[in-house]
Amino acid sequence: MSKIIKGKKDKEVKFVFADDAEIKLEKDPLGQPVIHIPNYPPAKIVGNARYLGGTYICDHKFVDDVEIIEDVQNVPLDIKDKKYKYDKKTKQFTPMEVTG
Amino acid sequence: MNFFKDVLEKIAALSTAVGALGSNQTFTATETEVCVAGDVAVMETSGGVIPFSSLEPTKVTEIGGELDTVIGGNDKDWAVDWITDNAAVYAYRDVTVSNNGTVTPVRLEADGSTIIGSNFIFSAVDATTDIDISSINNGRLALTYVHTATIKAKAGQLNSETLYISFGAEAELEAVDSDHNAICQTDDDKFAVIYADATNSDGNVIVSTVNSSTLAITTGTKATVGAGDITDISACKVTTDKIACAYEDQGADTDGFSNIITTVDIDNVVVGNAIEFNDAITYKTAITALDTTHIVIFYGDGGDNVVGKAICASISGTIPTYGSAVQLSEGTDNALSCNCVAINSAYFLAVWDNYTDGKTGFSVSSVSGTTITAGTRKYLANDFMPENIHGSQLSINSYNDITCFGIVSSVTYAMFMDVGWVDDTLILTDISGVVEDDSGTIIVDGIDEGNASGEDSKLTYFWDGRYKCVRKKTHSCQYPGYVPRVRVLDADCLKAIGG
Repeated sequence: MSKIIKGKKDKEVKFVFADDAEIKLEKDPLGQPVIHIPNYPPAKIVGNARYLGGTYICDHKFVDDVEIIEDVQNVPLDIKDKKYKYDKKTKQFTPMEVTG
Repeated sequence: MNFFKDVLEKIAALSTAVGALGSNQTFTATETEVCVAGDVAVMETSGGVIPFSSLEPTKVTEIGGELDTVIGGNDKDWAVDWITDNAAVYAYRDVTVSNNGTVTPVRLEADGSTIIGSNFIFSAVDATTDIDISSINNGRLALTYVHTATIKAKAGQLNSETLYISFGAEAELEAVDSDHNAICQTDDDKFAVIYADATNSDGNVIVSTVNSSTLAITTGTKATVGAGDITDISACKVTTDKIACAYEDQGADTDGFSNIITTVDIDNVVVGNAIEFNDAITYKTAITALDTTHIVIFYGDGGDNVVGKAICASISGTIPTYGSAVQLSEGTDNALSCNCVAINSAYFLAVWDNYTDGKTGFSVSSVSGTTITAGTRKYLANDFMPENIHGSQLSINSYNDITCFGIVSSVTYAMFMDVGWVDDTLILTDISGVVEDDSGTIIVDGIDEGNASGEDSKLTYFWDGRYKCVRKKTHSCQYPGYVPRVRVLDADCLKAIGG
């Protein structure tokens, strides 16, 4: 299973994360919405450097326009290149028929 | 003479403090030649001493290894700037994450280690390109970038303790496509973006202000820069509300031109006349201000084997008057990705990619008036520089730590350099003990710059280029690779004190 961040209007899959990724909707100190993925990438220590880890999506307009969906059954590898339809009930993507 | 008199008086006043040397407060320098008054003896990490006569006037050293700190992948369109005294922010197009515009803060700790913050995606648009970043003081930063054929800007606030960055709303500077731009601070919470308008084939500057609370950007009215389409742009603050820019002007035979721009009124920006600094095709300019009246431009001279050359100008009003260009890179090899940063009013660091030989060169050059004396060419251990980077790679903080990020085998590394010293008069006080052993070793104890009561004096043997003790960064630090030095003002006098 996967977790995705998907456009509310354009339905486009913006980000795909493994199921163990924690995705949180937060507010920054200015009260603006941000998406926080604290374990992507994970915190670590390598040699003389300490990595706090985590990703914040601070594009406020983007955050307003997307939704976080968990427990997605399948995320096609070529989802950025081909059109897929997402079924909310089955939580699966199926290819869209391309005409013309 | 007064200098030496002062020092001797200080030494004499402290002579009563001479006593047994504690092992943890002893600095041992093996003389390799006689030191005389005014000499600087530099302790090598191996234990030897380099006499003053053999020193370069300024030395830049790497802090740790070049490949110690991974900060990104095969990132594109990147730039870096110090946003606070100890934290820099790296801005880039994250190729591995949908070409998003992303920043990652990194804090350089006193011991030379680094803490890498989270990734902050400030533009989730695929693709966000042509990214440049500038400090606008007080922990705030400004970004410029391009997506959906529009020049954008965004401001952020860095918390250097938590390494968290808050962002304001995205501002649209102009709805035109662009493939080259540069950003620089003009004042606190005020910045300028100089950009190529690829839609209309010209160049412009827009000055904007940032609300310190909301981080909202107010954009000014654009003004024209250059005769036609401009590219390979660089910009720097010269003094409050005066900036300088350099670029290749494709509307003027692709020659190198520069402007001095005053930015007092963001709706009435005054662009001085374009002044040519290179009468040939000009690649990847970099520009830095030595002081409020002098700038240096480092560029690839397409009329001369794309040799990396530097040229200095004095500025009067909005008119730069250039001296002669001086070759910094190798004579026949293509120098790409030219970058430079002022160390102080008399020295600057230049770094370039020797594309022909696949290596990264650097040098510290000196400037007097508008005359540049090229520094000794040196090389990093790795071919560190990408062939072309977008924004500024080098920036310097008040501790004289210099960012020098690079890419090796599709991995981006955060590397820092430090100005080991700038030769000048440095008065050491609180000398509490000096002895010479049978083999001629001079042992100096308790050297201090005079404000470190109760602190471990051995740490004061390490100095940075602004003549501050490294201890200032914190008391217990020593940068890896830092070369300690001690100034022997008058060896005979010191020996006499030591008895």
